[in-house]
Amino acid sequence: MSIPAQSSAAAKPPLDTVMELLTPEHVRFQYRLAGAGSRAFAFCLDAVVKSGAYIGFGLLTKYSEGFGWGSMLVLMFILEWLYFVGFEIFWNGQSPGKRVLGLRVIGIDGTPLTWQQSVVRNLLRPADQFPLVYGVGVISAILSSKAQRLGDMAAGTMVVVEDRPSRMPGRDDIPPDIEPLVMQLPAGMRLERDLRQAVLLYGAKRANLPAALREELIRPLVPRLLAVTNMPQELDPDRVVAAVCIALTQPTGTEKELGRD
Amino acid sequence: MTERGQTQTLALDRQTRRWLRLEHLTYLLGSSRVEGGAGRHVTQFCRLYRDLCSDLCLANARQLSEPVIQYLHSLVSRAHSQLYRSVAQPLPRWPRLREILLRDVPPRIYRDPCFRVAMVTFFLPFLLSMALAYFEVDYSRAVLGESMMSQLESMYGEAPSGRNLPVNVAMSSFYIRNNLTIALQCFATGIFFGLGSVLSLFLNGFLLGAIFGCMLSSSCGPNFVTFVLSHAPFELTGIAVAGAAGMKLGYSLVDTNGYSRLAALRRTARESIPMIGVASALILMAAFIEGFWSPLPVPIFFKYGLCALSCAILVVYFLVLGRRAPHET
Repeated sequence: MSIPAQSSAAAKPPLDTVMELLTPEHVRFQYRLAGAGSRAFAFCLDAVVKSGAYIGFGLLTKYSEGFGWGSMLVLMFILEWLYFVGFEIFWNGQSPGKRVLGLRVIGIDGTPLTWQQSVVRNLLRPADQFPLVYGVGVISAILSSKAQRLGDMAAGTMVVVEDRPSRMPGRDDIPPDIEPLVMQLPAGMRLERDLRQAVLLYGAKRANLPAALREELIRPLVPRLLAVTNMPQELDPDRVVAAVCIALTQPTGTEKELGRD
Repeated sequence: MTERGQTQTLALDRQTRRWLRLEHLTYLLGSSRVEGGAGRHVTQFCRLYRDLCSDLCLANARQLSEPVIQYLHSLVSRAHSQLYRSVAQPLPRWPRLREILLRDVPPRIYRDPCFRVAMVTFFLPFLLSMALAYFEVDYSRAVLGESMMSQLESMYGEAPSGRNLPVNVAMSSFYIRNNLTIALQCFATGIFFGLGSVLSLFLNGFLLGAIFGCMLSSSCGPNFVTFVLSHAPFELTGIAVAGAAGMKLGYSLVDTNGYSRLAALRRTARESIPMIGVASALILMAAFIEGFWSPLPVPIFFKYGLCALSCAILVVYFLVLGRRAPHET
């Protein structure tokens, strides 16, 4: 089993919606916690699904008097108390609303949800709904470091955002004829951490940015970059940043280790 | 492309292929659609997962770009939850379920101080309120109000004469939903240090007692008795058991038994699932009796009989089975 990382090397964990876990392989990896807002939206989507079920069922049974009313009450009970439990067990921690929004319930140690956990967290919904519209639940989620409502605390679960990038981020939008520029860059170029991160992030997102926004984003970077790289002022800033980005992501001696077979 | 550029693309491609392969294996192992060659998959999965972990460390140390690191985080988290599954706990099947219900739960409930407190919290106000309402009409008028009293009297004004099947089904469903909701709310609000459960048990006992006393003293007392008698034992005990589970939940926050408060709460919550199961079963049975049997126009002797039978079942379950040594698992 993995143990939740108490606090990382920094004395105080950052005030963030990120939860860090330490695996037995001694790797820290992160979950993004789902906030009250997205969970409320998922709850509303689920409410829509349930209303749809009521309407459909009502139309189906409208001619069987008596039985129709009785079975509607049974359906109401089932949907009120077993809807979330059932979906979370069979969809591994997701209800339809959560699935649409990419949320998933998991154990606080990163393990998949068990049926006991699902039962506990959903049976305790009335406590979170107290006094109205999930008042206690929202307050508890805001105060908790893992964004847990009371039911989550009792079950030992948390709701995380599952980002599932459809594909590996690549560098498929390399500007044409950039190689000569890359070769002009000084060999032992060293960038401060924040500058380096900014350049890399820009490189990764560049393809999706309109030209005007590109210029606005890199304007603050350019003076510092030019100072480090000794490049002439009149170059297109976008090309400079792209070149630096490519130079940074090319493997040096040690970085080749990452690409081992 | 220069030679440097080509090496990099190649290296990235190999890496990417490993990651994509791991992504695929995580999906395969998760979807339980692995048939032949599952062992091979698992071996490969483990190797790739270890590689991925060191990739993530290196990526962090080398400060690779944010999207790559985020991708690695999400892949590690998915593979991690695939690898470190808690021991698969399927829903219990019948033989195990019977063992839980007959051997595990009764001793636990019998030895549970919370259950005794819950029974007292529910039945003491119930009996007191019933006695008061029986002897003092003013009391029931103050508690229930005129409109509710007249409503009750019209409900039980005439002897049960039987109903048709659809109405029975509907009424059972109504009682199931109504009573189970009360019981489950009684359990859930116990997380507020037990206060919700105590309050809800007390108020329900108090109100039901007033209704019982008021009806018994009124002219339609015999009708009321024949209707209520058969299902009352299961229903009232079910609510008390649910309240006991809620009080346990709240008490675990006070007396943590050496655990942290949160850990104590988690343990108790998991242990209370079978208790909630028993409470729900009792209320379900009561609802079916209430829907189908109680309105039948059978001689009162049979109604007394069923009441005695359900009391006997409860005594056997909670006292006789409960007194046995707790089952070690």
